[in-house]
Amino acid sequence: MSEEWKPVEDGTGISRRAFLAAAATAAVAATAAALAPMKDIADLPSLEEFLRKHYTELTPADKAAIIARISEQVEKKYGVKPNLTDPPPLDGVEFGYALNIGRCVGCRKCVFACVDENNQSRNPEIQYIRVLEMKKGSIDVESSTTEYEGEVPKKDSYYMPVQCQQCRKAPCVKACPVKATWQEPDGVVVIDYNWCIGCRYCIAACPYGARRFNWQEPHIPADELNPEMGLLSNRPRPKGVVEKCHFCLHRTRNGKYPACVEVCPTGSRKFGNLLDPNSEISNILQNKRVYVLKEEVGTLPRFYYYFDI
Amino acid sequence: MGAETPPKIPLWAAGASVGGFMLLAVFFATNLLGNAPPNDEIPKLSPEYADTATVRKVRKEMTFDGAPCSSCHEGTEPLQGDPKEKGVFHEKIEIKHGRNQHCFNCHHRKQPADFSNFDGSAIKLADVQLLCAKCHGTTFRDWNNGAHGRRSGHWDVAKGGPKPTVCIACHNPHWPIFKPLKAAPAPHVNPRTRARKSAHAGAEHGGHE
Ligand code: HEC
Ligand code: HEC
Ligand code: HEC
Ligand code: HEC
Repeated sequence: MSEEWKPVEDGTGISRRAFLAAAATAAVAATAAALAPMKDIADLPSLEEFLRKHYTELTPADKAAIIARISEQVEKKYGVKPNLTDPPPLDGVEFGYALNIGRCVGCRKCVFACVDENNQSRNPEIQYIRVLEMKKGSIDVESSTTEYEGEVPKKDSYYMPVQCQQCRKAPCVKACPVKATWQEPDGVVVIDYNWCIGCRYCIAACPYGARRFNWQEPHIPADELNPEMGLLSNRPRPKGVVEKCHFCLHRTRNGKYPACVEVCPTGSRKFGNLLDPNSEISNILQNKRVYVLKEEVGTLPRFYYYFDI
Repeated sequence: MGAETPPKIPLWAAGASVGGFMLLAVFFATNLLGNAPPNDEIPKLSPEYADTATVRKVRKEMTFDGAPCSSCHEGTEPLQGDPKEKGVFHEKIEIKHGRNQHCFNCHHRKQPADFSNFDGSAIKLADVQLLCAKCHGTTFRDWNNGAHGRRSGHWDVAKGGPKPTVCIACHNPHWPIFKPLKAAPAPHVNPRTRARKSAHAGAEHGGHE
């Protein structure tokens, strides 16, 4: 402590009490001014929402109550009655994804099928899939672009769509300080949107840039809302939480293909059960030249890229 | 021990900290830095961006100008020679299929609505992949295994299993190369990111954020 900061005893200063009162008043004023924008927040969480337990600790009754509550909120906001469910992981199933890098033409239909299916915010724009236009012969992601337009494929280019790689050793899961994101038994890394505190450590940790943050209240036109919803997948997200690809849980756990697989006009996208030796995904892993993105970071993705030979 | 007089705080220090807080209050209240830039207008998404239709419509029956093939070809001997020399009827048909340029490599000589297998037996339109398999064995194998072409419906066999897409939903048999598509719109750059980017003007754009 330097000399000046010693309290003076000679009576020229002001008393500590007076100082504290003045400083506190000024500090309260500053805080009030800083928090002023909060007065616009309309719907604060209800008490039961506030006291909710972590997803993995919910009893079936808790879950039913949460589903009812969220359905009601969605109906109030969008005027659409959602079919909100929480399909459990299937026994003996581990999901895997393969993308034929030699076939993709970069048309971005997968991006928009995903936006549609998963109720992503239209403006501000949130998209789980990024399609990188790469120079033929190069594997340098840094020199790629996502901004191409018009007719595709462009000369001397190939296309590499990137989305959540559903890593076996997921850095995002390790980074999350509140365990709001974790890996399910079928391999899908999910997010509890009510548990996420919005710290975005997971975004910093992800080597694939696959996670998106809701900086603003998401905006979805009511007539474009997909009413088939999963609790851990595509139900509308609040502002201030992170979201990402979840292999269309609400579809795939009911045996369907993800929306991006269904839409791909070139048939580059492949999906299936890694534990089934006869599935198309197992067949590709056995017979094609396969690689994973950024193998050197040791994340062990469940998302594979392959070539024909 | 006498009563201790509480220590006093120098006026300048008190003034500085109270003043500091007041300044902060003014700073926040007047919103000196301004709000974030407003969002760009983003046009409503066109439903065709997410349309699952294949690039080509698959015909259900073999007709030409609305008439079944049999209305002109039934019972006649196979036409011989180069159609381009005779051609008045099918000249719309453009064959750009590598060295595979002969109608009867694919079409059946006696039953023009069907296709021709190795042994001269007929392949129905519904089994057209068997025709392609004659010459594209490895692609056909991959298609059977799910590695080429598209599957839709269910990955789960217990739920009904996958439905394969036929070759001719993606390839025109006469001109089979996969045609270029128009890309759906590029991602919009967040106005804040754009401001930051132009501040670093000259830096190569890139990366995937
Ligand atoms: C309106 C009558 C008509 C119809 C209907 C018709 N064709 Fe033809 N087709 C012809 C004539 C005439 C020729 C010969 C002249 C030519 O090559 O243009 C011909 C030629 C052909 C040839 C080439 C044979 C050769 O020797 O050059 C093929 C293959 C063929 N037709 C297939 C079909 C198929 C398949 C259909 C049904 C989808 C069909 N045609 C329907 C009139 C018809
Ligand atoms: C690679 C095999 C192949 C060759 C070679 C081929 N066709 Fe076809 N053709 C088909 C198939 C398969 C269809 C039906 C599927 C479709 O139209 O999508 C068809 C459809 C047709 C049709 C009816 C549909 C239409 O496009 O009007 C006519 C007519 C026809 N072919 C004529 C010809 C003629 C004439 C030739 C030779 C100049 C020829 N084809 C060569 C495979 C072939
Ligand atoms: C009689 C043999 C034969 C049949 C039957 C046949 N093809 Fe071909 N196909 C070829 C040949 C030859 C090439 C040219 C290969 C090359 O140039 O390397 C080719 C090329 C192709 C190509 C690549 C086109 C390109 O320009 O790169 C596609 C796609 C294709 N065929 C699809 C089909 C489909 C779909 C069918 C079934 C409707 C079919 N083929 C039936 C012989 C055949
Ligand atoms: C979902 C769409 C789709 C279906 C279904 C499909 N293909 Fe293809 N095929 C493609 C695309 C995309 C390419 C790549 C074209 C390119 O790179 O320009 C391709 C390429 C090919 C080629 C060129 C050689 C190669 O491997 O690049 C052949 C031959 C071919 N397909 C044959 C077939 C046959 C035979 C079938 C049916 C058994 C079939 N395709 C079904 C989309 C499809």
